Amino acid sequence: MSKTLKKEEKVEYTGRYLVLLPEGSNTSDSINQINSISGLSLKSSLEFENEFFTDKDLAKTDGIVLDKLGIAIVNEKPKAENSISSFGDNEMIVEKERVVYAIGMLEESTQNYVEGYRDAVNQLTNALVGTETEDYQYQEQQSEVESVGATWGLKATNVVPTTFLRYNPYNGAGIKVAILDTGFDFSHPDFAGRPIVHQSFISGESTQDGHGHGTHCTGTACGPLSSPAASERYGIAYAASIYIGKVLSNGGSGGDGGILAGINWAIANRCDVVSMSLRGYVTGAGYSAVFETAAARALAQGTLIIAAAGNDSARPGVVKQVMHPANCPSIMAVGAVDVNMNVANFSNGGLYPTYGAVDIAAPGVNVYSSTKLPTKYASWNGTSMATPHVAGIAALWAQASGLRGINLWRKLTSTAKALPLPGRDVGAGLVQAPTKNRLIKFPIDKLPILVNPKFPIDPIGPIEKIIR
Amino acid sequence: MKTKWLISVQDGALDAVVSKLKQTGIQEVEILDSIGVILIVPGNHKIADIKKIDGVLSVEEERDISI
Repeated sequence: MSKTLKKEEKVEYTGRYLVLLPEGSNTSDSINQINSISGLSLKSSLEFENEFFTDKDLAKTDGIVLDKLGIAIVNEKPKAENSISSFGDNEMIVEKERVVYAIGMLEESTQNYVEGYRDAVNQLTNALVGTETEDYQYQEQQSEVESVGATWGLKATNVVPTTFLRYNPYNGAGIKVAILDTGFDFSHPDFAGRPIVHQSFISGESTQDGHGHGTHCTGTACGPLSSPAASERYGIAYAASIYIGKVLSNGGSGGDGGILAGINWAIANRCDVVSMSLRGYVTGAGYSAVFETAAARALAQGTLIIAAAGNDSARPGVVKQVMHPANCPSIMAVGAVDVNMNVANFSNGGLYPTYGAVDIAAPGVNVYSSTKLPTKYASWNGTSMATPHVAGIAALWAQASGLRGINLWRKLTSTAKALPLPGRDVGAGLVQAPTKNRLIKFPIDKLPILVNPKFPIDPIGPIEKIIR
Repeated sequence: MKTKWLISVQDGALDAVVSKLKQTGIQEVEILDSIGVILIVPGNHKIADIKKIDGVLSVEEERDISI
């Protein structure tokens, strides 16, 4: 006898009966017939506005005939019990009404199937009967309005989903993100009032960004949900804690020692994610054993280091290797793609089988974000721009899943969107943010807000593609 | 700017390696204890000498980094 007996599945009943009326009969005749043979007094669903009735309405009657379905729901009452047997004698099929439950914990494959089925039904419903609306909570609606206008990168990575069927409830709250770069412009109005922990590792220079690169990268990873001056939303983990480590000078250069000191500082501050949009040029084979040791120890302590693959290629003719320190196996290397999902012509590739791989790809062409004043905003290209996309999304996943270190790495790569491009150039694919499915309630009584009043030029919609 | 050397050390060997470096006359030592790395300004020493110290995993010269 098996020791793993399957749990007995017990069917529960509501106490009501479902009566399938004879084919072709009309509701009025059926009600008269049932009432005459059973002594009950049934009502038609047509007696209720829009044929909508509740359990309370049902309880006030002996039963209700669903006009469009030809089915009667009959209450369990003493006089009904005596009448049920008579239905069968009159070409009616009678069943006890079962108790049903919402689907709870499902296997991932089952859940995906059910969610896909629901999405398909919702889309079909939209196509047939028009746009639907969600029963919004005010706060959620507000959040949606704020996030509608967004950069192409945020849309492509699902930070701002382009379908109403999904939404992104994550903002990086409780997650510490370190940006090791040229510092940050603390006078930028989009970050006013935002607490920022900072430390300079450049001798003689404060953390204030005299270049603009660090402010751009910080903007993408952790910029605000909305801004009075920006033309569109550009920030991902807008509620994450920002840690600025200045490891590159205002001229945009630095040394390994400052980078390692910055990583050490980030780990000491228990940062969950470290974003490094920088690179040291390498030509030969191999990678830094010191950085690999440091990155492996970081992962073991729950800190994921993400770095730019480098911008040294001139595709299609010249593909350079992933540069230092992104070429270390324990550092996540980020390649860049454009809005058409092509590899950016400058993006480096993974040329070696055992190390120096591109692990993941992110938007890195025409990336709009904050920069130092007075310019305030700029659209730049580079794997430097792709890297903070991954860092910000890593913060969202860290918040959503609770995963850290190598497990967060695996979550990012396992959820990336596969691209029809060589793994050498894009690794696991395009990084994707965690999202949730909306609960659509019927009947639909109001239209969704499609345009963010703060970003009216950018209504939600498909990602624009550049036609050349 | 003086070129630094990057030294990664075995778990638990940080203090012993720092002590040994100072014994050999290296005074400019920066300890990154969260990642087990030491930065030094080497003076006239050779990388091969540093690699001989017990607990040292690897020694590298600092590279230039840029955006």
